[in-house]
Amino acid sequence: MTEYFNRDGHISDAGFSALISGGADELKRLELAEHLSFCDDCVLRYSQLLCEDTLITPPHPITESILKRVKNRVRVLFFNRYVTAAAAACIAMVLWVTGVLGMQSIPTENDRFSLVNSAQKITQSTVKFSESVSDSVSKIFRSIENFDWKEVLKNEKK
Amino acid sequence: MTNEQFRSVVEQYERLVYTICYQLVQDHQEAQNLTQETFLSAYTHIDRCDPANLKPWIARIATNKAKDHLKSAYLRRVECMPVPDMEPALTLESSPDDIYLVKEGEKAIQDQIYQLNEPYLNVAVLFFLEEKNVDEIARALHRPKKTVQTQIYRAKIILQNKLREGT
Ligand SMILES: [Zn+2]
Repeated sequence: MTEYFNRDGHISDAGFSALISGGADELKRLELAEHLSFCDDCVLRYSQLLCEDTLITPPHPITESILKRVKNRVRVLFFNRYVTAAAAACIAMVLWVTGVLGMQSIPTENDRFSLVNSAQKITQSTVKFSESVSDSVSKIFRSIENFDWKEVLKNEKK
Repeated sequence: MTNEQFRSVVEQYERLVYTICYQLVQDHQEAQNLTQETFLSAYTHIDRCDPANLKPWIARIATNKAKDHLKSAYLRRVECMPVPDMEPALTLESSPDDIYLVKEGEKAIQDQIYQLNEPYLNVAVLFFLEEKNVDEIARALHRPKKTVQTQIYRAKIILQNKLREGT
């Protein structure tokens, strides 16, 4: 049997010709692929052996679908980056609005203590922030409820 | 890299990539998928490539994609096979006769190892006879550790089958 690999471990002439002519079984092709995936010399030789007239044309056109997939991938990457940036901006705004960003007043003698302290402060401020948001929302609702609709109707009639 | 530049890379190398994928996996549909995967990878990492080496660089990515496909297909098939156990059977209580048999067995294993072909011969000699570990073998043979591990595993199966046939 002809050897697909030389004694030095590189792919032999017989190995390349079996690969190109389609004569290698599945395990042999796996062994060849494994070697090609790490060996610069053999991958260079293989790509040189594949000259213009030995190349196979794909049965279905492929370029447009590749470019479409690349565009989609770029869009997904851009979207992910945008979402991350937007989330960061959101957190920064919460901290800004609630005044947590001005933390210079927190005592620094005991790091652990100050850490716990600032964590509490963040939690409290977040609670305060959401309270103030829900406050203003309910204020709007209350003003709608208390609105004197009769007055408006009366004026309409006039 | 602009989209237009990338388009010309795809147009220039799509037949090369497709040919490599097809020659390795021998399936047109799969070769088509792997060609797309190759160019997606190439697009993501193209800044790592020296433009002078673009052809072998893309060919390398294609062989990697084909390898991953062939490997998972191979593993799916051999998954149910028992893991070979080749621990030497020599214990403290072994009688001189047992020791003789084990030594004979070792000699038979050694003969079989030297009859292996590449890519298993060098790996098996270093692992079974010179008792080198995977790291040392990977360094000595300039092969990735993962590849060395699979080659040791497959060498064990080949040796076990050969020894079974021999008895
Ligand atoms: Zn090589």
